[in-house]
Amino acid sequence: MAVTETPPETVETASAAAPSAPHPQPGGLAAVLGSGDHKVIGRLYIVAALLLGLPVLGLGLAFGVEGFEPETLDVFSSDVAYQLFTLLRVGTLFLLAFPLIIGVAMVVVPLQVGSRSIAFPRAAAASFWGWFLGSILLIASYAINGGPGGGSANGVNLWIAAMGLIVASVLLAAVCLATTVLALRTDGLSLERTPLFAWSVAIASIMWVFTLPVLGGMLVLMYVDHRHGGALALGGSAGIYPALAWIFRNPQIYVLAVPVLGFAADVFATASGSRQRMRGLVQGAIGVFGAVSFGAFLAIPSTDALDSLLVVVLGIAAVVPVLVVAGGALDAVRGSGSLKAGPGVAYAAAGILMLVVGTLAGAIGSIPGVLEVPEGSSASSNIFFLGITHAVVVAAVIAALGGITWWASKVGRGPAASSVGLVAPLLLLVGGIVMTVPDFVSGIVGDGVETQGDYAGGIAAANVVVAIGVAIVALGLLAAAVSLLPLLRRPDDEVPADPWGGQTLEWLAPSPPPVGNFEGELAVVASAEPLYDLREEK
Amino acid sequence: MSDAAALALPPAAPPARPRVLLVGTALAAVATLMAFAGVIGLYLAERASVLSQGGTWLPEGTSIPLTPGGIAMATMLLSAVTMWWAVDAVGRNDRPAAYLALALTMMFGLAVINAISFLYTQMELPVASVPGVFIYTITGGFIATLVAAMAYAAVMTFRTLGGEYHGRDREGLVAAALFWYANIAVFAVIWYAIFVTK
Amino acid sequence: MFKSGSKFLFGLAAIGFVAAIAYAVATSDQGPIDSVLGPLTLGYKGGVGDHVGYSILVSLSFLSLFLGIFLSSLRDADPEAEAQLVGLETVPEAPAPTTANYWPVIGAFSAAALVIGLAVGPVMFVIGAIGLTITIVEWAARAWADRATGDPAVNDAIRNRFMYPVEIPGLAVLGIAGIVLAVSRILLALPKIGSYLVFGIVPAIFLAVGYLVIAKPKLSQNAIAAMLLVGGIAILGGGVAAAIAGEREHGGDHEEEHSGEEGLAPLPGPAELVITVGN
Repeated sequence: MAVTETPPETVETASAAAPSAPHPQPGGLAAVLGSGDHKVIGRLYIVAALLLGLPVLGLGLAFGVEGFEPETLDVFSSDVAYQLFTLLRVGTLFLLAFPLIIGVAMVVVPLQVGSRSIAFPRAAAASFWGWFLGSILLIASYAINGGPGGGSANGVNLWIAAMGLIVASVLLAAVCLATTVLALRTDGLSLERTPLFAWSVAIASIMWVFTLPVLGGMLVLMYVDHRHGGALALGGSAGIYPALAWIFRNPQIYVLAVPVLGFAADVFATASGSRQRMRGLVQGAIGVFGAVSFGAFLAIPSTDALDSLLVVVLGIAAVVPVLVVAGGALDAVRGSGSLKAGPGVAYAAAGILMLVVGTLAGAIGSIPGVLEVPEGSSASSNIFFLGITHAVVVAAVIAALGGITWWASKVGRGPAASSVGLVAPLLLLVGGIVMTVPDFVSGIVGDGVETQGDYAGGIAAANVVVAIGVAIVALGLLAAAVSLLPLLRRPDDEVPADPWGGQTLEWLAPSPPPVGNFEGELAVVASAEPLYDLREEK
Repeated sequence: MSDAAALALPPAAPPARPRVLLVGTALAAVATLMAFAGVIGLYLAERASVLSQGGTWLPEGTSIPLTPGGIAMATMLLSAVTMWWAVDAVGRNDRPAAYLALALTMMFGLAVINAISFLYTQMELPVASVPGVFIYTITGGFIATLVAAMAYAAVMTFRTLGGEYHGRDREGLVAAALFWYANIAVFAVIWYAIFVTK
Repeated sequence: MFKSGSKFLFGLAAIGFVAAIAYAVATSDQGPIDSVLGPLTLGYKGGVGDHVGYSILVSLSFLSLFLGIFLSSLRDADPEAEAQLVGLETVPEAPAPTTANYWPVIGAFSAAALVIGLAVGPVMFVIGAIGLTITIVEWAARAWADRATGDPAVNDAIRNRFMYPVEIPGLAVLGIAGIVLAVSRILLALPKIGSYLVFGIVPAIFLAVGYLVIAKPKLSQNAIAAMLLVGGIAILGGGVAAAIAGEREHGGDHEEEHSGEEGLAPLPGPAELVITVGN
């Protein structure tokens, strides 16, 4: 025990002794299954999210077609339509948007804060594998006639438990990410100087820590109830989805989109080649947006609750920080008088515009009396809220794909294809608007409520437009996928560490970054733009 | 390799980055507390709804005796003292006292699980009822988090035993204590909301 | 005085508190004084309206206040503060993990088995629980050993010295138990002649595997990873298959399989469902 009782000493003592040869780096399958490298885990999240999430979007397209003319064009038989509808909604969030954002954050955030590792790297790996297996089991539960509205008790139980595993895994990832930003920053990098994307990820992660456990607790309750006779309305398979609906509506849905603001702020500041003049304000705005996105209190709400002043205020307040960040981005461009346009900037602009659409709609929908509420329906059963969810999810997906493109040489092996990369965000933005605006119109002037079993809620003509919007979004995703193909192959030329003239520490790491991220010691950070400081010193 | 080199002690581990475990544990504790906040909120809402309609909350023939719950609460409070003692003892490099305190904390944890299990046998509350679903979910969830807290404390005890934590660095034990105290806070709410007010 | 992280959390606490009061007042059906006094006294005097929303908002407020105080006591975990804590000029770096560690994957597979067990039955649940327990023990031992000294090879040796006396007999017991259980299930399902064949083939497989172990005692990392993956998928696949098949009927008359279990909530027909979007 003498050896093990040697207490950790100072760096000087430790570095004086020569340790034995380091372990060889694992390769092949071992490097995937056994890796604790945050970049590998992030890449796994991204690839798996695209593989699992894109078919879910195909389902969205099918539902768009279902809404055309339901009497003559039935895509889904009535006995599976409800289950697939819930798969679509849960899948877009937990199989696509959340893991995509987490994947980008896992790769980029440790680099941005100048850390050689993510906090709790093995827990981060466990979060990926837990999420991935949970997602497979979630899909399997539908395959055995489970899920909300399912006819198999085993299948319904499996759905609830798999959702629990997914939520626990996302929470674990959130703890790793938030701890990385809070406790693993390099010398001199105070939170005030932390890159805005890393800051936004920390805020989002903290908000996930505050809200997702409420969902987890409800899932446990549902499981116990369903397993033991369904005395509560929550536990019956038809009661599950309505009880979880709060995670799909505003303000809760905004927790997904907090990193959109950080990404846009970071990209515009770098592309404009200037220091962010409104940095404090933008940082504060991201914090405020995170705070007003807390929507867990609407779990099982009463009608009074949905019409309450608090919901109205939160709904309207969410627009302000988004506009502040957009203003900060414009100010950065105006201040420098130049903008290096490229796919990253296009994604950032598209992401924030889509979020403006979503939050503006949220503000309008929150105003009492704007939305028609047919008798017997709750205020938030209006199709309008489906549009808000879709707008925010599309904004998050745009930002995540933009993140992969912007940090392509860190995420993959080389830069993304720029020409197709410029088209993708445009298609996603246009598709997103075409997909969501008809739902807003239907919500205000149409029959309003999606209550029919044939999914023909809203205005029939508007549903055609929605389907076209989904198709454009799918095209955008295809374009994005094509533009990201170069990330998979090693380019002939050496990839520059800093292709954009970056401001923050991730651009100091070689492309692609090695294990341990940085070569040599990092200098003490003296401002929010350490790379500018370095260039000015030279 | 020379004999001298072969006999040399390996270099000490480089100092760990402080606060990482502590911050991560604080976030995990917050997540645990929020999960209980949601379910206990639902419990209170359902109970208030039943009572406001003139009904009775617990089914006929069911009772929740106060004694086992009260003993469990007192035991949890005692465990707060022993956990604090363990952290303090490690800070003073008094390892025997630290191990004794941690062993006592674990024992108190087991005693609480025992008390709740005993309560289950006394309540005669069917799971297939609205109060049953809530009470078994909340108390069962608490037992699960208490087991997690005990496992966490056990791991940190093991690492202290292995020499990782000592007077100058007791972060692991402080983190385990933080999670333990979060459990005590949860149980205090459960004790009042379920066992006392019934 | 307060830094960005603490400021955010204190702000969140304030928003949570104001929101809790506003929400309770808005959803309360009591008089103006009681509806304000109720939320201010945590429901001790007067009502709090919608209990769910109020409880969650009050918890948000208290917990973000706690987290804010906690973080500000650590000076937002600023690198300078951390460096001071360990008596160094620069903060120690968190090293990147360089070795393969399969316990996160094994833990995730165990959690997935637990999930299937919750749906299907106790066997998968027990497999998952055992897997998770082993993962916690192994993970803890590994994490401790990695920090024992500054030499990774010595750390490995220390870990092995502690864990081999537990791992090797434990693995043997689990392996033998698993094989005995699996073979017994196969033998039960097979006709007589099939049992004879299995009785001959299984020892032959054992002999072959034993020879392979002696011939190549150290497996490559990729082979270990592949075995773990195949084993994990086989366990989960078996569990899902069991979920599809439902409970096996033992003896007696063969009843038609039913998808629901006894005592479960009545499942509505899809045609009766009302779809509500957004809530």
